[in-house]
Amino acid sequence: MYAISQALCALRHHLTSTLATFTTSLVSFTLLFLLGLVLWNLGKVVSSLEREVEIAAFLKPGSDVSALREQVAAFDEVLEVRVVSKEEALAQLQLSYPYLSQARELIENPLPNTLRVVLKNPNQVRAAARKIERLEGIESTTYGGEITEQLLKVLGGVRLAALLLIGLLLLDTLFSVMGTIRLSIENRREELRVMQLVGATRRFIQGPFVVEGLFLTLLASLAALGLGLLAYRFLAAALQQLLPFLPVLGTNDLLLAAGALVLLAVVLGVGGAYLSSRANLKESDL
Amino acid sequence: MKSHIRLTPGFYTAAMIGFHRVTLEYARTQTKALYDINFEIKKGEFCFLVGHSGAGKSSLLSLLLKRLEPTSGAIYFGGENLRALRGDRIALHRRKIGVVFQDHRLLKDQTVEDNLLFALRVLGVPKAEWENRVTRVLRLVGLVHKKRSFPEELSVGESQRVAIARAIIGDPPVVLADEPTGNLDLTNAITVLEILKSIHARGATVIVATHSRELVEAYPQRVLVLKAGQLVRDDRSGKYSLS
Repeated sequence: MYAISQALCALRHHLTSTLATFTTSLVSFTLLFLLGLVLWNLGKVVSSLEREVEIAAFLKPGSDVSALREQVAAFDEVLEVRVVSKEEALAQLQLSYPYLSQARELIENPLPNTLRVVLKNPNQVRAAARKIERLEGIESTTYGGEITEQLLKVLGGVRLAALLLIGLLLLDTLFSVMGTIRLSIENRREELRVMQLVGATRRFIQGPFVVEGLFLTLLASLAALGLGLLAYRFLAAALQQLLPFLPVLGTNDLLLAAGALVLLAVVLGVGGAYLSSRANLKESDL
Repeated sequence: MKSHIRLTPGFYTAAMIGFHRVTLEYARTQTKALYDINFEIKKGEFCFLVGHSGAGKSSLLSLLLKRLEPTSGAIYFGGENLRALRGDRIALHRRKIGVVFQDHRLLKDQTVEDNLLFALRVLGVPKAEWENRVTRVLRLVGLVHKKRSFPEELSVGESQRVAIARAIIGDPPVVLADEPTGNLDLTNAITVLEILKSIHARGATVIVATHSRELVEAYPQRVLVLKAGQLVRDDRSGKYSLS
């Protein structure tokens, strides 16, 4: 109770510093929360794309289609194999490009017989494609995962940049909290000397500062949650109207993210205040 | 120059306070503040620590408070070697010592009563005892009527008496006073001394660092004389005169 009342007093006492730290924390936490949600959402999009990945194995002319089908179907990672004959493939192509029907009479069907392979685990697409390619009678393979892989690479880069930015912002928040606590200590230097003089334990002395740091970041994180959730809901609604098939984060995901942010705020507030008070409270001050 | 005072081995176990071959050197300036200090103070003793400015009186009291660590030697308090104290045990050790400084160190934005309550809160004294304790110590220093006053409304002598009240509110077995009358006229100095005497009469061990001849002569007690960091005399005759 004493620590809480002292912390509130200190926050009021140096209002400018309090507001500066609160604003820094608010900006950091809001950006962190939003960036985190966007990255998580992008991850979900990539996962859903991965689930739809399929390998197309093109057969050499004259290969035994059913034998190859059975060979591929026997692989552990394969879930399903479907044969698309060269005629079927051409018919599908003509559906997309009707003018090709005129050329059909002039040239022989150039398309190969194809095996369409669905995997149990889409992450194995690259390895499975190589394995299929090595079979006698397979000309080449292709899979939509190439785009997914490109996306993952881009996403990795974006994630790294975002993490760097977030890291810097969090560091800024930590130092800001430490600065505010240092100011608090300076304001109460006289009182702290008396405390040490009469035998206050370190916990008793540091308690109000730790509570002060906690208040600052906790309040900032709650405000950031409000802003972040509002912004995300707006973004998600707009995105779903534009691309309804794209997945967005559910309530449970948002709650989890909110919990993580609050936890981080607590760690930063308490940690920053503890470090600052430890560094600035010297025995020689007595 | 070696100290004149020699003690028998194991002396410290029976004493309230014991200094055993204590030397203090300030590392930063590499100046020796105390050389080979040996003495003991028994429980309930009253002792003046005299010497000119820079003789090492405050350094010696700082060692007792464990604000400073001796460069060599051992300091015993209630049979415990202070060197062994770490963390919160240092705070608990300080609770056994009431300290009064020349500059009283009262919190300016708090009333006399709040200054005393502040100390009680730090000491973890149950709230139910607060009122009784505050009244008791204010009565002892004769300032019950100043309970609601702020330090700036008090005279220097009254401020010093409040500082004494704060020092003894936790009933410490030892009271250290570092030049408690340094800023006071003779009348106020004698009043402060009378209070310290009454604390002594109640059983506390009292050490008063001073260079006031009047104070030493007004209450003939044991006198430890420091000169340039050395303990040059331990006078128990009660007739020691600074002149």
